[in-house]
Amino acid sequence: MGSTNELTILEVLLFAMLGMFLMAIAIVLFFVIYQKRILKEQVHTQKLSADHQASLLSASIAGQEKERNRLSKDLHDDIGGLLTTIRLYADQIDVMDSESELKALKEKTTTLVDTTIQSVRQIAYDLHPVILENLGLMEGLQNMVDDINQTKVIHLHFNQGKIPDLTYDQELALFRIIQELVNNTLKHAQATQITLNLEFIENEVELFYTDNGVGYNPDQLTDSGSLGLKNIESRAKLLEGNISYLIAPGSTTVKLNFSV
Amino acid sequence: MTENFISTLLIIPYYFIGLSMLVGILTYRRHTRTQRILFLLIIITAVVEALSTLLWSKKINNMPIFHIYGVVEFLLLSSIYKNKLYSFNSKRWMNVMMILFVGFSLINVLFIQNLHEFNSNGLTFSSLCMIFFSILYFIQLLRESKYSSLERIPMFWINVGVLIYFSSSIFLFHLSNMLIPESLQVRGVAWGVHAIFNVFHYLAFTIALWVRPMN
Repeated sequence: MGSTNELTILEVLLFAMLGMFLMAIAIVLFFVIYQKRILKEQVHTQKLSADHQASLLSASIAGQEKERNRLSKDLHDDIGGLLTTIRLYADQIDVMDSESELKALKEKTTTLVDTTIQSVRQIAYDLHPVILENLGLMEGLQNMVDDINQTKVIHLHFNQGKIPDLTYDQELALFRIIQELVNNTLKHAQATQITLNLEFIENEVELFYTDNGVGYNPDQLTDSGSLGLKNIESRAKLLEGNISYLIAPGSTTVKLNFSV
Repeated sequence: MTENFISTLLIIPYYFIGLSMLVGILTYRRHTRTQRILFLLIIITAVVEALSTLLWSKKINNMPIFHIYGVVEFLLLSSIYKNKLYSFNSKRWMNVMMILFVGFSLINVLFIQNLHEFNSNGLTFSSLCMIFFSILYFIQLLRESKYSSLERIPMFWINVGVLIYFSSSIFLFHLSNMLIPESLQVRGVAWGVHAIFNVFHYLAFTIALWVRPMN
């Protein structure tokens, strides 16, 4: 080879070329490894999301089945029993002699028919709250609050702010969430007070629900949790809202926000 | 290194150009638009190399061919990237870059480096642009994160070939004219090493023509 200068130039040039080559290889390898890691995480997240959606769907179907079973039981036990008794009374008409006996039978039958009508109305209301459709969410909630307070078992304070008009689906979802929360409190919380606030703050409807009961088991808030809570979550998703739970000794607070 | 070894090294990339042409012919029917542009580039490269070898064997200066080839190579690779760098709104500014490069090459030939001198300015500028485009494409792939089998994407292999080749060669292109003309051995060694990088270049292009793109 030639002079020292030539060797130096060659060394510098080869060093630069090799350095750039190795850097390019490193960039390619880094990219490939990093991209595969991102994809793996995406797949994992998608799987978790799909599993969660399946769980919600399963809970929704189970909820429907539970509702059907309850309806079946109400129809059979309440309505079926009342109609059977009415039938027995009707059969007695043939054997009644006196007008007074017939009059007494008529009164008993009328009472039973009225009770049957009331039971049918209650079952129909439980299935589909007509008051919600006819008079709106606030009237529907006030009606529910009045029914609960009349029992004197628990007191429900309802503070209603001025919220904008919602679609029927939004009102129904919100109504069912509140119904479920109240049912959970009545069944499990051993509470004496419920506070329900419904307000419109910064373009969001905010539901604030709290009771002075024993609180949920935190495990019920996970995927393996209760059917009722999963249904609440499903309905919150329909509203495209965020739901959060704060559980403390002596109180349970649930907050739901969604934009309108 | 012996002169024979360097001579052998300098020939090896030609075999890979031949291999990529063969693969391109065999897979032509299922080529995407990108693969067709790449195949066209490879054909032009083969013709240019053949012509330049012929001229060199007749002791005729073959630099003018490389001046033209540099522009054609830049335009073809840029048209591939123009189509692929969609998330960077590439269609507009890529057209501008292509026009600018042609203008710069003309100015370079007319006023800076003559046609019979190695086209170091044009190739250096072209290399810088290609390195920039290839890194942009990798960034775009990372942002999208939608391809699970990168090895089946032709553009991935084109990008690998472009990044490795132009990164490795940019210093040689820039400094080539500064190497002492009398020192053929130094030039020979440098271009011999360049030939190795060229092998990676055409190997990646061969794979790009071979792979069947995902639906």
